[in-house]
Formats: sequence, C-alpha cells, structure tokens
Amino acid sequence: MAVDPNTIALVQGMVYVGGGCAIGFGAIGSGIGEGYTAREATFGMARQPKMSGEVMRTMLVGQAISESPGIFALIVAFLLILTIGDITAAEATPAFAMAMLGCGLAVGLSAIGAGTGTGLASGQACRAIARNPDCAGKVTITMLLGQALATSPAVFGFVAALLLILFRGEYGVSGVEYMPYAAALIAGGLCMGAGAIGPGLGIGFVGSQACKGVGANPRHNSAINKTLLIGAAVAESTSIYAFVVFILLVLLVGKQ
Amino acid sequence: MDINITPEPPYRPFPGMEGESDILNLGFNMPTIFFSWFIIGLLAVVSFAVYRKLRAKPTRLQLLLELIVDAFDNLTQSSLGKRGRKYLAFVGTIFLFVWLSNIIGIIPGFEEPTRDLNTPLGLMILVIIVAHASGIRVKGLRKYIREYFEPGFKIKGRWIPNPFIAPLNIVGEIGKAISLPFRLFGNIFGGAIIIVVLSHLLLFVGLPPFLMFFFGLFVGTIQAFVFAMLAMTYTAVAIAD
Repeated sequence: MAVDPNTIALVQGMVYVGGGCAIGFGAIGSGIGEGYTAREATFGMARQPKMSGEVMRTMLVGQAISESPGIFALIVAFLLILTIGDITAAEATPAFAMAMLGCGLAVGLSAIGAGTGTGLASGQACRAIARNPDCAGKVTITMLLGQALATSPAVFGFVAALLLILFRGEYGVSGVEYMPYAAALIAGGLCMGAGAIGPGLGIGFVGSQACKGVGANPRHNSAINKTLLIGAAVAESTSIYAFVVFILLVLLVGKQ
Repeated sequence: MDINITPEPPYRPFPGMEGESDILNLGFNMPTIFFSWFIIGLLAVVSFAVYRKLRAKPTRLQLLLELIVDAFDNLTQSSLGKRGRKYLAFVGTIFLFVWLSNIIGIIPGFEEPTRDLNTPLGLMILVIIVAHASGIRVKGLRKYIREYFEPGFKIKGRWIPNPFIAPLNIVGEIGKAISLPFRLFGNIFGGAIIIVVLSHLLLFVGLPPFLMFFFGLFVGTIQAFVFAMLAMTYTAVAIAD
C-alpha cells in the first residue's frame, strides 16, 4: 500500500507538536517552583543576613531538584524532535502521530504539578533555615525527601512517555480499526499527564509544611519525616491510578 | 541540523527487550558492567587500604572516609533509632556506589553506569528486598501482612481486615518501586543528553565544562544522596511500629 506523502508530512508534524508540548508544558512547573524558592530565599536572607551562605546553598540544591521534571520533559522533547522526527513510510499512521503527541502531553503536563510542588518544599525549607539556622541539616534532609517524593508523578509521566516511544514499532496498524487505537493512545498520554498535576502539587504542600515543621520543632524530625512519607504515598496514589489506566489504555485497548 | 544524540554506546533504555530478542537472548551492556566493577573495586581497595592502617592521627584519606561514615552514622541513627548501626553499611554503600557512578562521567572516556537503566533497576530490587525483609523480620510475618489491611474496621473491640484498602496499599508499593529507579535514571541520562546536544549546538566552545559541573557533579551528588535517603526512609517506615 503506497503511503500518501501528505500523510507522512502530517504525521511528522504531529511528532514535532508532541516535542513542543513536552517542553512547553514541562517548563511551566519548574519555572514557578524555582522562582518561588528564590523568592523565599531572598526573603530569608533579608531577615537573617548572617545565614545567607547556608540559605543560598539550600536554594541551589532545591532548585536543582525542582529542575528535574523540566529535565525529563527536555529529554523527551529532544528524543521526539531529533531522533523520531525522520519517520519511515511504514510508521506514518494516525496511531503513531497520536502516540507521539500523547507522549509529549504525558511528560509535559505531569511536570507542571511536580515542578511547582518541589519548589514549594524547597521554598519553605529556605525560610525555615533563615528562621532557625541551627536546624539547617535536618531541614535539608526533610526538604530532599519531600522534593524527591514530589517528583514521583513526573517520573511516572516520564516512564509513560518512554513506554510510548519504546512501542513505536507497534503503531503500524492500518485498516478501519485504527481510529479507536489512535484515540486510546492520545487518551493514555492525556490521562497520565493530567492525572499527575494534582499529586505533584499535593505532595509539595506536604513537603513544604514538613520543612516548616522541622524548622519549628527540630527534635521531632523523624516523626515528621515518617508522616511526610506516608502522607505523600497516599497523595501520590491518584497519580498511580492514572499510570495504571495509561497502561490499560496502551496495552489492552491498543492491542486489539 | 545533524546531531547524534545517541552517544557511545547506542541508546538502549531497555537492553535485551528491544527488537525481536527473546528472554534467553539477553543483551549485555559491557561499559556498564566494566565501570560498575571498576567503582566496586575502587571502593573496596581504598577502604581496605585505609582500614589496614588506621591511625589515631589520621591521614587525609582516613579523615575523608571518617567524615562520610560519621555523617551516615548520625543520619541512620536519627531516623532508624537503635537499629541504625545495622543499616549504616547498607545506606552508606548505596550512597557511595551511586555517587561515584553518577560523577564518574566527568572524566573523559568514562561512562556513568547509572546512565543505563539496568543499574538503578538492580539497586531498586536490592532496596525493596531489604526494606520488606527487615519489615518481616522486625514485626513478624503476621503483623507485616496485617499492615496491608490497615486501616481496618473495629467491631466490638475486634479488628476486622479491610479488603478494599489492600489493593491500594499494594499499588502504592509498586509505585514506590517504579519511581525510585526512574528518578535517578532520568536525571543522569537527561544530564548526559543535554551535555551532548548543547555541546554540539555551541560547537564545544566555553559552556561544556560548566554543564559537566552542574549535571555531573552537582545533580549527581544530590540524586545519589536522595536515592540513599529514600532507601533509608523506606526501611524506616517498613520497620516502624
């Protein structure tokens, strides 16, 4: 079956749209989160100029973790634009186009909540260190835990995007049934991406209050860390449901 | 624009699973195996050499190792309590191995073992087994299984397991196991890709050393610490009453 060159061009265009979506949406959360961290750090330095070195260090560490959802989005954007951009005629199906668009949506949207949430945690950590410099070590550990947990939804989005790219050979289905197939693939990407926005933000709330709490009461840091972990695991569960539905859509619906 | 973003060796997120290879036709990623054993050997030789000649007035190397051990001793004791000493070697070794694996890429010609997904996945299996085995060992199998049905119902003072909550708890454990390795892999692999692509765009002028510093040393150290902290906290939650 000869493939229309227009179809190839259209599919290739959709891959580029997916790449743009990935980093375009993915930059939102990390930007807000890093800005919030810097805001709290500057405020803390004005309060407690003696601790500016410690606050600066915490701010940089927090921003580096806040950036990781953006980095995930950037990897997927590079993969889509630089390596998958040249597609063969066999791959030029609507399903392939929708899968790559879904891939960009999954990683891009999921980075919004995670980037903002990690920023909330590190911002409150900077404030707590400026307020109570003695507990800097304990606050830093709580901050790292909270931020690591807040990036988990973005990690699920990243895994979903990698899975969609990994199955790229399977999208050559043609015939009448390809429309539901393509719809399931983009629905999977959208479900993973949108489902991860809330959990990322929510874990950020937990992490920010945990940092504040450790700053106020450093002696009880191990109890606070444990509550942080359990609370974050519960808040994270909805993003895991989104991931499970993504797997169902891609593997079960797609294989029919 | 012609940029090859698949640096040597070729990009293979799931070695052995791509193409038509079946289960028995396993793929081996030689650089990963080589550099993993290189790091293991380095750690073993250095620590054994220092351990053989411990002095009251420490040498610089001994002082460095003492600082690391002391920091992790404080950390494990503060979060695991009196059982902390037992897990000091586990948490400390995970940190040192992942840390060296992350930062070894800044030496030209060396490749980070953590850039290959298999290394974080293997470490994840280790962490999950240690956390659950210590949970079973400390609390007993009965209480460990009961934990999955918490919070249960209380009827006339008798505890009834809640069958609806168990799937949620199990899915949560699976989610932990997925997010732990991919967080490390994504950050290290992402750093490597960004260095390659930006270096090509800038024709290797000026910026690459700073990128190497940021993504290699800075992000690598933070992510190694985060991995070790999560391993420790998962164990702490598993053995908590």
